Amino acid sequence: MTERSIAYGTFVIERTLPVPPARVFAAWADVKQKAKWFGAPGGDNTPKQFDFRVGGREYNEGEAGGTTFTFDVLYQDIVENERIIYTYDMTMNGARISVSLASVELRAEGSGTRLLVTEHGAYLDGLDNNEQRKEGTISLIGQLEKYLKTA
Amino acid sequence: MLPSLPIHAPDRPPHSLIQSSFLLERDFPAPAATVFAAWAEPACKARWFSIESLHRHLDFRVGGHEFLYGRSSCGRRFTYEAVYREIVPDLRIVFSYDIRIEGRHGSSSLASLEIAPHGRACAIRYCEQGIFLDGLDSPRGRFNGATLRLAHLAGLFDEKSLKH
Repeated sequence: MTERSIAYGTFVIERTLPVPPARVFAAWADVKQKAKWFGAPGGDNTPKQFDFRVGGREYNEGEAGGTTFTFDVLYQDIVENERIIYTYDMTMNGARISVSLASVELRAEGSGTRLLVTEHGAYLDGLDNNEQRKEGTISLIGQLEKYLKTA
Repeated sequence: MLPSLPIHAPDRPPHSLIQSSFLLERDFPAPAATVFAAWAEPACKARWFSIESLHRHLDFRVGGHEFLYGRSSCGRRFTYEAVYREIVPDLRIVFSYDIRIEGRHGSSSLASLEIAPHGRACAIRYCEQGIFLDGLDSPRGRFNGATLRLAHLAGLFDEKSLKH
């Protein structure tokens, strides 16, 4: 039987992006754009469900090296071009590994955008942790930066 | 590590967020199953959780919703809407919830309850990680509210121990 535990953690990622807030917002809000940067590099990351509105759900599942993952999002606050607040949970081979609360804040800075991503996580049964999630999110934001520079 | 509570600034600009977390620990003179049932069973939860609410609905299962509305002690209309994200019977509950005050979104929170059995008693850890929006609601108020709710919950077990 699994040893039950919850570890709590918070991380913040801050970046300056060379495009205006509306462009950054669209990269989160438009499913076609989000699939180009959010997820495993090179794979098809189009979610099975994408309902970007307050109360809407995003859902995706995938497999990597024999491990199946699910990603289930509930959008809770959206201010166009300014902020997105959502919670999400993840499972790995059917076991829930985390539940998280996240905010994405955008602020115009010159002709670019100051991006602030904050995540609060409850990591379950030692199956994930705050440091690992922070590293994974830094990679995703790196992919977002690359996408916005080349798109 | 949980960050400490920031001081609420009432003159914050519109569209501002405050990030805040707290952790409460309590010992209860009741078995883990009884404490779990106080969160899981609608009739039992109505006896201690947001007792001032005028309407309540609880669908306690993963993916299920909980909804309450009423008036706060200062007369403001509020709604509470939660979604259950993780449940292990008698051991833990993780849920997300939103508070709306006079129709405006005041906060989004992630709440986790862990129950550790100690014979016929148990110890709980209750953590809230929250985002407070546009100065409508404050981390200090939430912390005080949660402290009060856990006191109401503890009262339930005191009554029981008096009856038996």
